[in-house]
Amino acid sequence: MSTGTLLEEAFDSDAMGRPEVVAARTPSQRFWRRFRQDRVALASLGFIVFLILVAVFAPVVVAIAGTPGPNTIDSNLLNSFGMPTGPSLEHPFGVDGLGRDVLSRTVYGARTSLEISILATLIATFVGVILGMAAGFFGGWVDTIVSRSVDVMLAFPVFLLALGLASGCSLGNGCAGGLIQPGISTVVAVIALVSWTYPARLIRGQVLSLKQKEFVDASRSLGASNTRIIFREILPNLVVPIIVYASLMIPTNILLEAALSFLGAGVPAPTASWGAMISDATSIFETAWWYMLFPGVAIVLTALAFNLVGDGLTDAMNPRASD
Amino acid sequence: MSEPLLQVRDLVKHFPITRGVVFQKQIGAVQAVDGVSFDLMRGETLGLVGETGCGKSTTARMIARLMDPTSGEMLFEGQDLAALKGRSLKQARRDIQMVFQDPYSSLNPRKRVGSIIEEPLRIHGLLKEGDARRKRVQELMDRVGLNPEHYNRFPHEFSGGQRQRIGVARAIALEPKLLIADEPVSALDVSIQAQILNLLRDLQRDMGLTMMFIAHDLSVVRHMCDRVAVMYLGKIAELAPNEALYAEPQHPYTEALLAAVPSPEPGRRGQTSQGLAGWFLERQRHWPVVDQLNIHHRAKDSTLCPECFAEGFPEWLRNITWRGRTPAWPVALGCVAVERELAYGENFPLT
Repeated sequence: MSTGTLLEEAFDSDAMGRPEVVAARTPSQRFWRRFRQDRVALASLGFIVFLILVAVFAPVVVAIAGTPGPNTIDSNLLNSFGMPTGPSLEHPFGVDGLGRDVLSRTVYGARTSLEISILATLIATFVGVILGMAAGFFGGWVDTIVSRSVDVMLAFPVFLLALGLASGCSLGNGCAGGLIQPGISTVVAVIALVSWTYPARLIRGQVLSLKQKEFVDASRSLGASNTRIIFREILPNLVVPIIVYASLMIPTNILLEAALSFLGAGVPAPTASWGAMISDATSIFETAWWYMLFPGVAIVLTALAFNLVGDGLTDAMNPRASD
Repeated sequence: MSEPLLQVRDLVKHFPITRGVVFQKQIGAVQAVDGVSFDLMRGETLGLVGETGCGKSTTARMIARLMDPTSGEMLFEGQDLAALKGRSLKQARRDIQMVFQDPYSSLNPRKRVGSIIEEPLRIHGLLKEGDARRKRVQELMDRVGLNPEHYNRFPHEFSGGQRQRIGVARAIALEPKLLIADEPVSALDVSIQAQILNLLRDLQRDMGLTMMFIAHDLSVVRHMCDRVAVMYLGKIAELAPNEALYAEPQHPYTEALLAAVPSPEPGRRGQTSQGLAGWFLERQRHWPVVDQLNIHHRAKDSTLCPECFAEGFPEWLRNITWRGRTPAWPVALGCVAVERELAYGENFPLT
């Protein structure tokens, strides 16, 4: 009997009549299920984890490789013409124009690069999310101020602004009343300043559409305050776009840091930075190709890995994608 | 039905139409609600009908203080709702709750059902956190015909009808005096509509709720309401007891509305009919009540009809969830009768 078969199927598909505590898969569990299937993103995530470990344990890595520290200048490593020597067993990535080991500097460069890009991304995202939420939720003059500021920031030649600020803040006592000292904090502040605008705009748009939803009205009619609505009702719905956007902002900031360092407005010497290494390498590129190659490869791989992970996250979090 | 719970007087809401970006200038106003007055008696159900855009929802939203009126008074137990602020407003919100139209947008997709229903208790600091609240949440879920075991699920795991039950549970959690239902069934399938309407009617009876029921479907209103207000272009065109309105519509607009209600039987076209949901409810009324289990034919929407078991569901019924595809039998509008306990995987005896 066809009806019977259908019925059986129907009942078999569920634990009918058997009491069970139903534990639903949470959105994060579903997200991991989807993300795990994306091999490219998973491999990239593996690379990023490796890179972070390398950066955190840079002294250990350098010790294992048996190379001198990143700032050890050894003129014996230059040949009789004063030119650096290439990759060898003692110095797998060769040495630079001052006789410093390129492997050590690349490893320590990962520290600089990740530290700056991740910190700048966190700050920019935080600022962007707060301002974007306020603008989208309250509208009116709050929105006007935030949105016009974003417009003005976006109309600036951002790179020139960053360059100017970075070099300005790198002198003497720094800027913003000594709050931003020369060094890493300058670069972080400059990058955060020019990159908070995109998340702010994105979040504002999301909030504008979210606050039209009836669950916001429902919460308000229950007596919830604005703060409660913003943080308990709206913010949880923004987690996905925030994570996706932040993950895509990190590679951009890695490149921005490299570019600032390349132009001499990044972290001051002798701190190792990939961008600064490439900049130093340009003058001796014809004889010492390794000096440019390794930090260059490091930048490309890192930016690529973060981008691929970001794409993977976007795909895995897309609510319209099926399980 | 004695003294009025809510007295609305000359309620007006104008939405300004502005021109210009930086220097905005008002060039006119949309008169969404234009001088509405009515009394809502304690314990009655007042229907508010009218076409889309006639101001029904705006009126409801002003009473729920989701929107501020341009002018007018809303006296709730003698207190003007429009003038309330801060703490006293929060207190007044406890007595006025709302069931929303769209069960998909009215539940936060990122929160578990238990947390959604607990929200009102949390906001007003009622009951102790933890077990006491969870127990209350499960009670509420049971009350609206949801499996209390499912408090840990997310809204997307429920069907439209079940989601609307969640919305109802949230609205009655504070034991309000006035329940505003803003087209609570217009987003649902016809057969599910009847279940939700029955639920609301039962709740009203059991909790002594006063209800304001908004709909654009006259058949639904007829089933639910004691009195009906017909709104047209921001004003109340006619307010009359249910039967009188259908028997002798006074206003030409009411007549037009009544004529537009489709008849379930094509031959009876033109007569005042009740629409599909009303028809379904009428039919259901004549069925034997005891030992009947209604399972809707559409897999995800299986729900037990609360009327079937006057003394609550027997234990064996609680765990049934139906997840198959559409069965092959012609379940007219979704009901099969089951006379005894079902074993796991057993076929249905059909009637």
